[in-house]
Amino acid sequence: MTALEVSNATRAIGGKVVVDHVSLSVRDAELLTLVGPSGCGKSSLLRIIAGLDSAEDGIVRIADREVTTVPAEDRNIGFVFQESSLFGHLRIADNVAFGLRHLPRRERGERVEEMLDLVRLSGLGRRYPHQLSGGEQQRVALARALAPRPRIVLLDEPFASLDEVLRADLGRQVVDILKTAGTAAILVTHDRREAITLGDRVAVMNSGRVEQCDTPDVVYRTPLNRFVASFIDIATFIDDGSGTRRVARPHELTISPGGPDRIERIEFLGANQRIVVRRSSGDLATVDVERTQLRVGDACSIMPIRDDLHRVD
Amino acid sequence: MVSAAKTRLGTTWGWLALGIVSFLVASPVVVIVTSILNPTTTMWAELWETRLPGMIIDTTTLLVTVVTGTLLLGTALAWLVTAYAFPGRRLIAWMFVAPLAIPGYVAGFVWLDTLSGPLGARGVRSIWLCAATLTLTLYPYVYLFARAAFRSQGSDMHDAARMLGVGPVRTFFRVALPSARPALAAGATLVMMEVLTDVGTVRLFNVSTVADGVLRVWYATGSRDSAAELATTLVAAAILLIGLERLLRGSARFGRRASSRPLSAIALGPVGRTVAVSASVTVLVIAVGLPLTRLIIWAREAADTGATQTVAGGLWHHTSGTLVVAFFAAVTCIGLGTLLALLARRRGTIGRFVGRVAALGYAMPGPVVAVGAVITLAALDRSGVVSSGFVFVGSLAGLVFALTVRFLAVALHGVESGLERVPSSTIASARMLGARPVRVAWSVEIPAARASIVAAGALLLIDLMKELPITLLLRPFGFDTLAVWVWQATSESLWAQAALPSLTIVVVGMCAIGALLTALDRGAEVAS
Repeated sequence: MTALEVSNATRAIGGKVVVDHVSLSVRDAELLTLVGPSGCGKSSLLRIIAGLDSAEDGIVRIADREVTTVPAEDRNIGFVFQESSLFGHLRIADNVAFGLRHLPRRERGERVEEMLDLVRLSGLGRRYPHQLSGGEQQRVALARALAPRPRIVLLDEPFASLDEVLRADLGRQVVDILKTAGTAAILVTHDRREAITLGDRVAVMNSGRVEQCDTPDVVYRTPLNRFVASFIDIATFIDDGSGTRRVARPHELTISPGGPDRIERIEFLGANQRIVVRRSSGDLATVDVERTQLRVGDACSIMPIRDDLHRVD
Repeated sequence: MVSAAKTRLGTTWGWLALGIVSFLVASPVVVIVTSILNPTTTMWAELWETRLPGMIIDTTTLLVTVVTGTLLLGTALAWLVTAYAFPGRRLIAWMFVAPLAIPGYVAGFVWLDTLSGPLGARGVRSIWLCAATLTLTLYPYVYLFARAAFRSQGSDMHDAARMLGVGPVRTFFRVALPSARPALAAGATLVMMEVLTDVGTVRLFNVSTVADGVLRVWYATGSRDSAAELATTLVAAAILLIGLERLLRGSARFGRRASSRPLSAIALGPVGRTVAVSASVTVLVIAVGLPLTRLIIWAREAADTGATQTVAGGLWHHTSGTLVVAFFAAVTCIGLGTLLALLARRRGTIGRFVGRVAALGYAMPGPVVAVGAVITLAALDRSGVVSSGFVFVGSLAGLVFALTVRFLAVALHGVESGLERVPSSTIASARMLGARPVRVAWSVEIPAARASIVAAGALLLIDLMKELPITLLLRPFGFDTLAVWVWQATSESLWAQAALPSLTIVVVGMCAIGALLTALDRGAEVAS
C-alpha cells in the first residue's frame, strides 16, 4: 500500500519557484532518501508534505486520504528536524510522551518505555535534553516522532549538526529503528553517499524538480541525465565519436602512459590512487587505479574498461 | 621581558583599584544588612504593635497583584505581537513599551483625578487601584522579556509540537509558555523590585508599604539606624524573591537555537484582525493615550494660570538638575559596568565575583540603598579620607554614588550580554595579530557590544529620571529634579502644577525608549 503520494506539488517564494511540479510516492515501510544540492527545494518539499508550508498547487495523500488542506497537527506525520527540536523544559520521557495525550496514563508510560527501548536509550527518561549528546538527542527526537504511530516519518537532514563518524553510525541505527518500527520514511540529505547507502529508493532533486527517483543501484548505474550522473558520484563523460555521451565511474576507466592527455593531480585514497587527468578537450577525467608509476605532468591516455557504458543525453 | 612584566603589573594595579571601587559600591548594602545584628528593640516593638503588620500585608498584597497583573498583560501582549500578523503590528509592538516612560506616580495622579468623580475622593484611594496603576506602568518589563523569549524560540520547536498533533493554542500553553519561564521570571523579578522600591505611587493611593515606612521613619524620627533596620525587611524580601526565581528555573535548560528559523506569525482573518487591533488600541489608550492627554490639558491650564513655577524655580531649573544627575550617574554606571564586564571576561571566577558584589545594589529597593549610602558616606566624611573639607553627605557626588550603587547592574548586565556575543576565537585572533588587551577591548569587544551599551544607557536614563527615594533623601540642598517637583506638587494634590514636569519626564523617556528599541532591533539584549 502507498503511505504517501505527492502529485504536482508546486510552491514559489517571492516569485521564485522552489518546488516545481513534484510528484513522488512512498510505499509502506519504505525509506526514500531525498538528495540534492543545498537550495534545491528538498526541505521545502518536506514542509509541504508535513503541512507546515502550503503548496500553491498539487495534492498530498497519506494512506489514500487527501490531506492537502488538513492542518499539520492533524496529518498523522512524524517529523525530525535538522537540529534537536526537543522541548528543553521537559524531561526525555515527557518529550516522547508529548504526542500521546490521547492515551490513558498507563498505556502512555508503556509506549514511552517501548520507544526509548527501540532507540536504545531506556533508563534516560528522567534526564533533560541538554544532558544528552547530539546523537542521543536526535534518537530521542525520532522516538518522539514514532511514538504516536505515524503513517510516515519525515527526517530533515537529522544528522547535519553531527560529526562525520557519528553520522555514519547514527544513519545506520536510524534505518534499523525505522525498519523495526515498520514505518515509511523520507530522509532528506545533501550527502550523496548517505542517500545511496541508506535509502530503499533515492530521489535526486535539482532546482525544484525531481530529476530521477529509483533504487540506489539504478540511479547509480543508469542516471537519467548529466546532473544526476555527476551528483550521485564522480563521473567522467566520454564522447564515443558518434555524438553519444557515455558516463564512466572512476573504476570503469584505465590509464596508460603516452597520449594526448596530461596528469594534473594524483590523490592517495588508501586502497586506491585517484588520478585526475586534463584531457586534450579541456575536460577533466577521474580514474581510480590500485597503483601507478605515472607522475603529475606525464602524458597519458584513458580508456573505458568496457564498451557498454551507460549513455546519457 | 621587562615591558611585558611592567604591563602585567600595571593591569594588576588597575584591577585592584576596580576591586576597591566595587566593594565601595557594595558597602551600602553591607551596611544595611549588618545593621540588623544590633537591633533597636524599642523601635521594633513599637513598629510591630502599630504599623508593621499593616505594612507587610499591604506590601505583600501589592506584590502579588501587580506581579500577577503584569505577567498576564505582558505575556499576552508579547504573544499577540509575536505569533499573529495583523495591520500595524510593528508599530503596536513598539508602542507597548511606551508605558515604561510613564512613572507610576504620574499615571497614579492622572487616574486618581479621573476616577475620583465616579468613585468619590475616599473610594479612589485604594490598594487595588494602586495595583492597577502599577500594572499598567510596569508590564513592559515582562513584555520585553517575554517577547525576546518567544522570538528566540524559533519555529522548529513549535513545528515539532504541531507534527505531534498539538494545535496552535495548546502549543502556546504546552511549549511556548513553559519555555519562556526563565524570561518571565526575570521580568517578574524586575517588576517586584520596582514595587518594593516604589514610594511615589503608594503615597498617592494611601497605601503604606515597607518602603514608604522607611521614608516615614527617616523623616519622622531622623534616625538613620531605625530606618536602616526597617530596610532590612526589604532586603530579606528581595533576597527571597531572587532565590525563588532561581528555584523556578529548576534543572531544565532553555537554550536558544541560533540556526532555527524565526517563528512565523499566523495571518489573522478579518474577525481576528479586528479583535487584535482593538484590544491593542484599548491597552494603549488606557496606558499611554489617556495619561498623556490629561497631562497636556493640565499643563496648558497651568500655563494659563501661571502655575508653571515652584518656589525653587521653573522648568529649566528642574530639567537641568535631572539631566546633570542622570548624565553623571549614567556615565559612571556605564564606565564602571564596562570595566567590570571586561574584568569578568578576563579574570573568570574572581572577575565575575567582583561584578556580582558590585551589582548587589540592583536587588536592593531604592530606600534601602539611600539609607545605606548615607550611612556609608557619613562614615567616609568622619574618617577624613578626603581632607579638604569636602562633605559627601548632601553633595552631588554623594547622590551620584548612591544612584550608581542602585543602577550599576543595569549597565553591567547590558554590557555583559553584548560582550558574550564576541566569540573567544575572535579575541584570540586579535591577540595573535598583536593587539594588547586594552586594544582588544577598545577595538573589538566594545564595538561589538555597542548596541547593548546603547540599550543599557537608554534604560538607565529612564530609570534615573523616574527615580524618587534616593533623590529625595540624598539631593544637595537647593538641588531639584523633575521627579522631586512632581512629588512635591502631588503630595499637596496640585495635579495641574505637577503636569509640566511629568510631561517632560514622559517625553524624554519616550525618546530614550526609541533609542532602546532601535538598539534591541540591532540585536542587543535586555539583560536577565
